[in-house]
Amino acid sequence: MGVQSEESIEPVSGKEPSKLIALLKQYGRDLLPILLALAGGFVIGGIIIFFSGENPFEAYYALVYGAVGDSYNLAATLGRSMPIIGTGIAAALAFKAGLFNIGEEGQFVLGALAATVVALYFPPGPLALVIALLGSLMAGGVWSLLSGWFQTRFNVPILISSLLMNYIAVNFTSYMISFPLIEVGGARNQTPMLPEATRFGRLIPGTSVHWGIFIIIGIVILVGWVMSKTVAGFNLRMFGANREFAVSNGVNPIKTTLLTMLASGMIAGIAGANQVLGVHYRFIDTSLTLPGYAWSGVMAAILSNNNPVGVVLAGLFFSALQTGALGMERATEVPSQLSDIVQALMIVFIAVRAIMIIMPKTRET
Amino acid sequence: MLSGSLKLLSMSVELEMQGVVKRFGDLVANDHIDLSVQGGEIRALVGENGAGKTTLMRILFGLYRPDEGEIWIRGEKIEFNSPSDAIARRIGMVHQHFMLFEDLTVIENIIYGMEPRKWGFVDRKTAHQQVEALAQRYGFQIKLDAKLSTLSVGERQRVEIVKTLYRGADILILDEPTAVLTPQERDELFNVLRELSDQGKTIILITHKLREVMELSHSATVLRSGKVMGSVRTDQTSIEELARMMVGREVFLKAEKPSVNPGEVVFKMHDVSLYEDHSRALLQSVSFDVRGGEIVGLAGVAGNGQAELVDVLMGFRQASAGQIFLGSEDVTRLNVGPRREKGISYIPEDRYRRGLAITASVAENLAMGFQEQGPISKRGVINQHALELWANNLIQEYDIRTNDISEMAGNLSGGNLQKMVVAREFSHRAQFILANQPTRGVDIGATEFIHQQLIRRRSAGDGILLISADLSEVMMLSDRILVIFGGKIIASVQVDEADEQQLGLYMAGSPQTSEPATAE
Repeated sequence: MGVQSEESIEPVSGKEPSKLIALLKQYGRDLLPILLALAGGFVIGGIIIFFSGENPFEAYYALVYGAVGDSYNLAATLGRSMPIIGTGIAAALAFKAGLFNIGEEGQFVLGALAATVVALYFPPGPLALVIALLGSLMAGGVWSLLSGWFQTRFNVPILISSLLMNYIAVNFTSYMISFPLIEVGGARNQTPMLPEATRFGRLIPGTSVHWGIFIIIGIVILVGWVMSKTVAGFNLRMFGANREFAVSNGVNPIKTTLLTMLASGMIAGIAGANQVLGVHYRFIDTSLTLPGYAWSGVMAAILSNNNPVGVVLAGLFFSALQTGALGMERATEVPSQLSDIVQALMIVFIAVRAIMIIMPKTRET
Repeated sequence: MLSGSLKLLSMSVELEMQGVVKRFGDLVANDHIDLSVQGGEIRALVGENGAGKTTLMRILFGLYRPDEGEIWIRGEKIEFNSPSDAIARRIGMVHQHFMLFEDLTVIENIIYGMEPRKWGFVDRKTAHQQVEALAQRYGFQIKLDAKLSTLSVGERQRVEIVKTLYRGADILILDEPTAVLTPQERDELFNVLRELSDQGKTIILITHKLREVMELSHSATVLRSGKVMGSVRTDQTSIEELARMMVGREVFLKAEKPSVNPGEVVFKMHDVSLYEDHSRALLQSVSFDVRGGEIVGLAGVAGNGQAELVDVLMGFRQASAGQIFLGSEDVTRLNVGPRREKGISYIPEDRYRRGLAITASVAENLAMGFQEQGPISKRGVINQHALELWANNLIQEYDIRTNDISEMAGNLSGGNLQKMVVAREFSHRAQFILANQPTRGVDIGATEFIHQQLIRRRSAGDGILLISADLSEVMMLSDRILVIFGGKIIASVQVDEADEQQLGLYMAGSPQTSEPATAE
């Protein structure tokens, strides 16, 4: 072994400069379109602001300040990024395998619901916390697995089933909160508060940044490692790159589909648990769906081309955009929905790029 | 260099291309091409894949605009913006993939786009008269009122040619016209083309089958890497010379097969059938075996059950009936993965579909199928260093041209990609190799290499099932030839008793009359 590694050091170090350039080129190729999409989104957003009678520069200043201007805003951005990154990693994992699981929202709320039920009915304490997390993994995982099974068993595309199952999950959750689990005499449709012992503590007091952030960090590292360094990740990537190629070289399509969907759903589920256990300490109806966390997560996966580190960056960016937009709304007359416009425009630009990559190939043949 | 001698053939220059250049980015597909074709001539345009034949013809047909150079037709300088300009100049193209409507009749397909009209309606009577006159003049036998979907491939091709003639073409460009034909259909096509040439039509034949060049054309122009290597009269050249011009070095067209005594049966199908929806038989009682040290060729016109046979053999689909053995082990109920673990090397027909992932790296493509074994992985974790070492070894051993093993496979040329598939598949410790069209779309150099590799494995005592649409390839490499027609193995012959005409008849569906040789 020792001899082997010595031999190999030479050619690698000899190649270093060209490798570095190649690496830069590659990252440039990946990053440039994202930066262009970013610029495009903001320029068109600015034009919209201008025509609605506001000063775009003022509005954007307010947006940036609202996102990262002071420590409170910065913490709000960080807190909001957690569910986006969590669901984004869930989406990226499935997308990388060519499985279009867009059911993260349903898996996310079911995970949150499972964690809420466990936390409410189990004796408070760290054990309940662990069981709540396991419950969220199971709820999100099974829901996603079902969607995968519909594809392997009945040829129902995951894209369709996962999307439709979102409505079932969201409405079921809403019903559970509004009826069986409702806080009697509460101000709105919400569950009672979770016992204090069954909560994540705040990492930064007075903000929504809590200990659950380490779960998200752990997931990013784990998924990144599995995707790039393990046989399972290799199989998953090849399955996504060309399914028939993977299958004809021995990858089991059913196993890969089901396991990937299970893992993806589990991640979305635990991201949901994170929100009730760490932010609200209860499940408030629409609190997880109205801000569109899971959909921002899906967009983060698309924007980053399913790269886990990229999902973190995109998640932080979307979160900054959204919290910043709230600040902008307070400071100017521009509504916070502008962030949705900018976010959507970016995805459109990225989609155009994807089409441009595919088009010349089809034209030549 | 041949314009002087060819003057004998005809009186006038029909087509002249001077200094034609076409670039795609950095790639110079056509580099100052000069081409001069006489009226009534059959000119073969030969060259390896990527030599620029198709690009040149697309320029002539108005599909591409040249970056430089001039084109003269019948003494007139022309500039085409679209195929309709080319058609107006009486140039017609018969594409490799036919441009016909399945649900229309033959005559409707022929007149489509140029229908004779009366009161604004299609004048079917006139159309019939015109097309019949055309067919009679050139000696075509076609059923004008048959639906296209009922026609054989050879008949469809004739429809394409008549359509082109109907549009008034005097210059016909045919792109690899024999790729899909049986030997008999090919002979018929050649008769038709000779007749057309006799009547003054100019024919340009794009091909890489040198035997057909020698048989049919008056002269040949050889392209290599976008440049004209020369034009020669076919009665003054040889296959060897043409091959040398194409490749740029001496080529061994005949593969030398050492004699090997067949060993144990390494693969066997027994009475395998495959039904669609429990009724239509895609495969019917297919039985054959392959021994170690033996290449069994499977000949047949595309679409006669080869794809289904491959799917059932590999485990993509489960057989409806019958048994499949790998060595002595029954693998009938196993899926692809477990079957491959037991030892099958598989070169798929379409490398882009099953052979590789173009968006994955060269190294990953080469490691695919070995990722679960040491030293590439241990306990489920990949050793990147071992993976790269593995890939680099294969790249050297099989002379795969790539800048870097981390580059996207899609950047490699077709021939190199095929080498990559072959390299990977031959690295499996398998006693049985399924080679489906192993040289499709690769140039002579790579073809020669792949043939040598197949023979090497045969010498090493492995059994090979070779499926190929190229009958000459099957006849050259195989020890035994099976013919598949309509999902059935209808003939089995030893290669030394095989003759091309007879095989062609089997491929067209006429059953083996002599007592069937032992298929099993």
